[in-house]
Amino acid sequence: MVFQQMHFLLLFSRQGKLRLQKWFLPLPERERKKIVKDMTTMVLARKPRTCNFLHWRDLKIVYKRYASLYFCCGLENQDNELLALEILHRYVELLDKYFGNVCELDIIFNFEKAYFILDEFLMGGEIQETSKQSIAKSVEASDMLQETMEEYMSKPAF
Amino acid sequence: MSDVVEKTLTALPGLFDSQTGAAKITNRLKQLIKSITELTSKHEEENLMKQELSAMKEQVSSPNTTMKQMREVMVRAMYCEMLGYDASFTYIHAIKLAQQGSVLEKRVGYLAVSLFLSEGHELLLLLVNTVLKDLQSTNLIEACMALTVVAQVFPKDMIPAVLPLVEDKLSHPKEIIRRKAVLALYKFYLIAPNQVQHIHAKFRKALCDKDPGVMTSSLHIYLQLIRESPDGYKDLTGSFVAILKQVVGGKLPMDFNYHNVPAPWLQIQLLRILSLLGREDQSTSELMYEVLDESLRRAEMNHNITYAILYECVKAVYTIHPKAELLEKAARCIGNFVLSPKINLKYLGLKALTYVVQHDAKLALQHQMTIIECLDHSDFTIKRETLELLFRITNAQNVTVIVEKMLDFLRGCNDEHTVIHLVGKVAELAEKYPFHSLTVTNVTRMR
Repeated sequence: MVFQQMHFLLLFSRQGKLRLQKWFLPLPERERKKIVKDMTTMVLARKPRTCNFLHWRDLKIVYKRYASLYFCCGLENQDNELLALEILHRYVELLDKYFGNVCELDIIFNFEKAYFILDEFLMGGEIQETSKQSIAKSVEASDMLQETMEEYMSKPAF
Repeated sequence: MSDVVEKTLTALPGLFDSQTGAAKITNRLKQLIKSITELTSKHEEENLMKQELSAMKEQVSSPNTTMKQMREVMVRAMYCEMLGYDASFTYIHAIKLAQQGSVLEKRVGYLAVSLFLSEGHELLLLLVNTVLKDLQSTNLIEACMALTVVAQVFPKDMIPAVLPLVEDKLSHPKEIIRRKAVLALYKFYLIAPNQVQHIHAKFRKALCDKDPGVMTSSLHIYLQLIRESPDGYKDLTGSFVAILKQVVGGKLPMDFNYHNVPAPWLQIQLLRILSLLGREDQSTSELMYEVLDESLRRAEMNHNITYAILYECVKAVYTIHPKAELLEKAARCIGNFVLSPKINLKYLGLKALTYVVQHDAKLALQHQMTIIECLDHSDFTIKRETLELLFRITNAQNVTVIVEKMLDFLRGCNDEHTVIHLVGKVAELAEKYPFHSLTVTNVTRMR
């Protein structure tokens, strides 16, 4: 009996364009497409001043809009929705810290970086308690390799 | 010319390539994204993607494509798959990229693998050697990447091949490696528990790790183990209580604070573990009353995360062997949620009531009026949650009213899954309280 907490995490725009998709359970492609379609339809149809939670099949959906991006995740029924909301918020804070005042374009054009950050703090759908420094360091450590090369390039050779 | 200068001048052209390479990387993806955004029909998008994918196919099959270029193609491949287009011809190249690329290329290769492949995919076997190599790398970043991918997707038959290396990392000097090793072992436990049974002693060590991040990661495993068989871990109750006490008392480094709350996710894991350990066990429950009381008291700030912790506290209090004072405090907490003008809290209050009502039916009666108001709430989710609650508090006196409300709701509901679920509930009630032929007719009509 495996208890999987978060089933998936999606980011999409107000027009329903997918910007990021993370699946924490193996699902056939057909099923994933259905979920993406249902999520975008349902979440975009929600009226303002309603709660951030939805029922869908036997899952609970937690979503929040940040500027022009919707963050949406699917949970087990008994799970803590408010907690999931805070997980989404934590992700946004990490993105903001990394990109510096993050906006949708940052995520669109650097989506692979958004994935790197996600993988550092949400492993297998379970949030990791880490110091803020730890995530920043591990993502930026690899980036720094690139920076070192560029820095080398911009300095005089002797 | 000095040695250093000569080396530098020789190295320059190579670096120059990487600069333009980096520029190329962002440019082609940007170009693709911009082109797609400018199109107005799905048909046009499909045509563009067909072209793009066939160009990519050529690139990946060409022997002249460098790893740098492959990295760029892989990013575009991930983008295409995200939009719903098949780029499976790149999968094998993702593995190659992880295998042969430099650190930055490896990172993209591993990411692509974790997104493209899932459990049981035949190509996963090819990943094993790359992972083995990187786990032994002196470059810690490579070891981290290998551990990250292993914790996400790994062929279970090959676990024995990497297990010793991963186990070894549990005592690595760097906390990030230890933490990722624990997570990898957790994944192994989930997909092939018998492979990992013998290293329980090592998890115990992780539980006592001086780094809170490593310690927290071990809790995932413990939660799963305890779910399966709580009795085997009752002896750890004292340790879990002690850790929670420390966290709640603010003894962790400030860096683990989230909006002034100390390590909230850690607190919640511990609360869940404690509920499972204390369930139907008075002596074990007694060990935790104090810390639960403290948690209820501390989580009084005005932030979603403290409410989330409170919810878990409340659940814990109602799951374990009952203690009057704690139950009182928890009940008050639920009351505050249900009566809150904040709609998310109201939802959580209703959910808590649904959970609690099996232990304390009076509590729901206390909030009858609010519950009835919620039935007519404009938010569909709140209505639905209220119905779940109502179903739990049905008795011979209120069944007619409740069934009426359910039927009302069903009439306005067009989600198939919800309808099936609720019709089932109504049928259950009709069987349990056989009285009204009208009700039965309604149920049959719904079906």
